[in-house]
Amino acid sequence: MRQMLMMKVSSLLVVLGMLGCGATTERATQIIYDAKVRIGAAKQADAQNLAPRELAEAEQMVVRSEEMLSAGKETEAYRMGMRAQLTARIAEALALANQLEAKANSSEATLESQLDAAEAANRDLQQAEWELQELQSTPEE
Amino acid sequence: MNQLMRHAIRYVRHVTCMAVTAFHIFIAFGLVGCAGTVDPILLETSLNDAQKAVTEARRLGAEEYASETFSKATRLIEGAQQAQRNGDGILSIELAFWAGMESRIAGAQVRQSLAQHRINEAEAEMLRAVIQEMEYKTRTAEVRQLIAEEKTARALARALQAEQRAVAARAESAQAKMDAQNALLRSQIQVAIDRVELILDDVKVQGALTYAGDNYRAAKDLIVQARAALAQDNFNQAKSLATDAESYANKTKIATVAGRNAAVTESQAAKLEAHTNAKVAIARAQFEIDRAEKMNAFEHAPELFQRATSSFEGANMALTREQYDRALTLAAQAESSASDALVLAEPIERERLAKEALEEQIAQAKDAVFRAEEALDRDAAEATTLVPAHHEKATTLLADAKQALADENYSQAIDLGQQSYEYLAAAIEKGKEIKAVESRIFDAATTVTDAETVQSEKGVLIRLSGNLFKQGSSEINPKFFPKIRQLAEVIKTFYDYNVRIEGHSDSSGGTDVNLRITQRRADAFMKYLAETCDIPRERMTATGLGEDHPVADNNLQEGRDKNRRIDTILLTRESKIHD
Repeated sequence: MRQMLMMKVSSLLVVLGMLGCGATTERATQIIYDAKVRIGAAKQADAQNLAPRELAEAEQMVVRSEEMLSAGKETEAYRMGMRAQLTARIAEALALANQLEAKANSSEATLESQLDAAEAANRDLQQAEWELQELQSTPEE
Repeated sequence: MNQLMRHAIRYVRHVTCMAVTAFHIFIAFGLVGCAGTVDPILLETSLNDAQKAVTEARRLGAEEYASETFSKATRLIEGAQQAQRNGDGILSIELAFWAGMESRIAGAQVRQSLAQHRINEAEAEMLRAVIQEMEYKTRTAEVRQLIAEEKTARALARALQAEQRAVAARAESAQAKMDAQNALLRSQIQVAIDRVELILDDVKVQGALTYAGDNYRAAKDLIVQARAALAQDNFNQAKSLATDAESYANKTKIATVAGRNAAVTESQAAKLEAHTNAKVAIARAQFEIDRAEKMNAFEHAPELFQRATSSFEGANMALTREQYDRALTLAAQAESSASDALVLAEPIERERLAKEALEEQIAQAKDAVFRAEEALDRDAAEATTLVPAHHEKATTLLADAKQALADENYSQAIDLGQQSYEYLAAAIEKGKEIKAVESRIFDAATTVTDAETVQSEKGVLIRLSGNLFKQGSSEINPKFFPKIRQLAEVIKTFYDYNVRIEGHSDSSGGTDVNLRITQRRADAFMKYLAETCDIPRERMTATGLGEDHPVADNNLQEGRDKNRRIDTILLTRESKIHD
């Protein structure tokens, strides 16, 4: 059983090694695709406005990765594509974080005004209660 | 149960994440399998940077809020360290770089989680605040409703009180109205009773007890009953009784008056006739006395007139004393005496009046003649020359008036004297007017260069002399055109007067020749005025007078120059054109 497991692992390593040396073009193509998908997701999160530097870096990295792939530098293309994908994820995460923080600020501001409104309603109530008390304590003419 | 499910899902996701990371590491191993060596300092720096990034993510709370990503980052850095130990520098750098980036993602995810947490808390708090506000508002509305109800109740109570007061006031008002009506009724009935009593008092004096005793007593009885009913506020009965009493009182009055009238009518009729006859006789006497008085009978027939007036006064006195027969006799005597006096006085008075009228006429005639004479002596000196026709007519009329006065034809003398005076007055007025106009013409004529202005019998004469015409010719010397136009302006100004143009010559040449040439020159002058200066021709007449009217000595050259001339006369002393 243990021998079998070792065989499987060694086989996997061999396959991976072969893949590392023999099928790098496809992996690079795949990672560039993944990076583009991530860039799209970042744009969906309005990264153009909320994380523009990171988004621009990711797009430049994709371009460079594609140039490297065209030049037959599959390994470098893969590494650059990987970086582009990670940078796009950073852009997306930053954009979402900024959005949520803005929304949190807005919610807190709304809460403040609502608290003010509640306070005003409380004052109206106190005023009305005072008027009632005054009225009840005043004898009829 | 749900919590268990969440733990299970989180565990599966964690395992999957680890597998993916391992897959990347294996791929990286594969990728860098053919790679070479790397600078150990660069490697060390990369690992340190990655480690710092992971540490920063941990500080931010990534272990709690971004556990998957943080876990991935830690595994990657472990992979990087393992690769360093294995001597694979390039792989180590790559993994360290990825670890750094994952750490940054983890940091951003921490921010997301914290922000989401703030949002959740704010929304929860918001919900509580909204509920609180609604509760406050609901409670406030309830309290306000209580206030409104309290106020409404109080207002209703006040309205009820006001209504009660109004009802009481209405009742009082009705009572007052009823009292007033009763007072009015009482007053009316009292007035009716008083009126009946007055009637009864009046008819009692006139003998009501004699002529209508029953009615009188019945009325009195009813009055007593009416007063009693009124004292008990029994107004209807009192009113009815008063009305009945009034009816009886009126019957009493009618019966009393009828009874009295029947008694006095007979004697009064006879007395009235005698009174009337006496009045008529007195009026006739008065008429006759007035006529005699107008004819001055008191002067011409004094005894008769005196008798008439004495009888007249006696008649009036008798009438006043109701002695009608005596009044009638005295009035007839007065009328007769006045008539006799009138017969005597009338012819004498008429003769006297005629004589007075004649004397008045004579005085008027003398006065008219005197006024005319006085006016002629005082004011007519100028009129003699300025308006001789008027003056002459006035003189003739005055002479006729004097003759009529001498012939004792006084009315004619008055008329003629008056006419003479009026003619003379008109002549004087006309003379004043002529003098004023001539004065203005003299002033205006000063504008005509080298002209001489003279007052003549017919009016104002403006003279132009010298070589006005060429020798032996009737052609005007052009040098004189401006002067003639100046003269024309004067003539136009006094448009109400006709103009006479006279041509004169010196004594050179024959008389007939001079006469003809002066006529032609006067005509030429008039033609120039008419055609060049627009003076209406019908206003002008032109006459040549030859050498017979010199104004200077013909023996001298200077005198002859003056005698050759055109005299233009504005005929102010004749009638005006528009009169």
